[in-house]
Amino acid sequence: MEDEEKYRRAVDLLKEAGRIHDVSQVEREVMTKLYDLENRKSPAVVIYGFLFGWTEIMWVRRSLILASFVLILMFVYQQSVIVRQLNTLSSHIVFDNLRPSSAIQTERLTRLRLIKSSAGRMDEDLLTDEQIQQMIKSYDKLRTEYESLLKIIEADPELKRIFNERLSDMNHEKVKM
Amino acid sequence: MIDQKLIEQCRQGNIESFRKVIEASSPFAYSVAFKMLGDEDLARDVVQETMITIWKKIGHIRTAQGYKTWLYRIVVNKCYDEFRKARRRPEVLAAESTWVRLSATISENGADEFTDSEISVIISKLTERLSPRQKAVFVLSELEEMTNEEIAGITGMSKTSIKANLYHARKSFKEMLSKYL
Repeated sequence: MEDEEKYRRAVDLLKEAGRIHDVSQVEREVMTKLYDLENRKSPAVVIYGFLFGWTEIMWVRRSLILASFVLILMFVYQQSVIVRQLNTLSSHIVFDNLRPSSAIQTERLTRLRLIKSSAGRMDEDLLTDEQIQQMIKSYDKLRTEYESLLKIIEADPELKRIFNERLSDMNHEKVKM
Repeated sequence: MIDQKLIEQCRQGNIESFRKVIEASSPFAYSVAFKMLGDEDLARDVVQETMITIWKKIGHIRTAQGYKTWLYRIVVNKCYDEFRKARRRPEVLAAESTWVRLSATISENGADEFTDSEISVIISKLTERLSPRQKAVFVLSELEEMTNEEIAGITGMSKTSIKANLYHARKSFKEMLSKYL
């Protein structure tokens, strides 16, 4: 047999080789391998499962969801209370010991003193702005006259002595304006 | 064979469609793997690895036309990996009786097909004499009857390179046949 013929014969026979006998078995083996690969857990997955696996328990998960809703509602309520308090506070005048440098600040100062002296009993809604202005003016006038009177008493020692005796007799209370 | 609809279903993770892909693709993949490696078990392993790779990377295929080339490319690359591992395995030498039977088979009055052991012998001898690329070209061209264009798409070689590799492979094969049979 010539070489070329041998070659052709060998090639023809080799072409017929390599026939798969059982495709379904190959299929089964591939599916098994795929399943193993899909289920192989990485270290990250194992650690996550260890730390948070308990959240997979249904009743635990539902309870936590419910608790988180309650916490959120409480938070919202708390925030609304705080905001309301802040709004109320902002309507009150806040000041420190700064000396009033303008008429507007004098008026504010006077208003605050009036509120303090009334021990919170003064309801600004019952008085009109005009009435409050009048009251402030009267108060300012009274205060000025009082300071003048104090100056006069301080200036005269004899008068001061009589004044102090009278005050101690009457068992006075100091009224702070 | 494989159509666009089947590929789309596999891309969406439909395992039943993938079973059909395995059913259609395994015979082709096994044929090439067995002829390149000459070992049933290794060929089955290559087919399994190929199918798993296809499942993982089915998103890379846009059309059914490109599927066949892609399949063969994966098989051939997996076979190359096996060749690298095989360098470390001890060579199994064929017994004298195997050559006698082989000679009888190839003769005009011989049987119509090789036995598995005969195929293993032939292929193991080819492995000695051919590089992995020469062997891939020989199997795809002579045994799987693919065109040079198809082989270029699978192996990434130029047509000139394919022709050169094929020439050397045929020459070595004929020399082997003359020497042993």
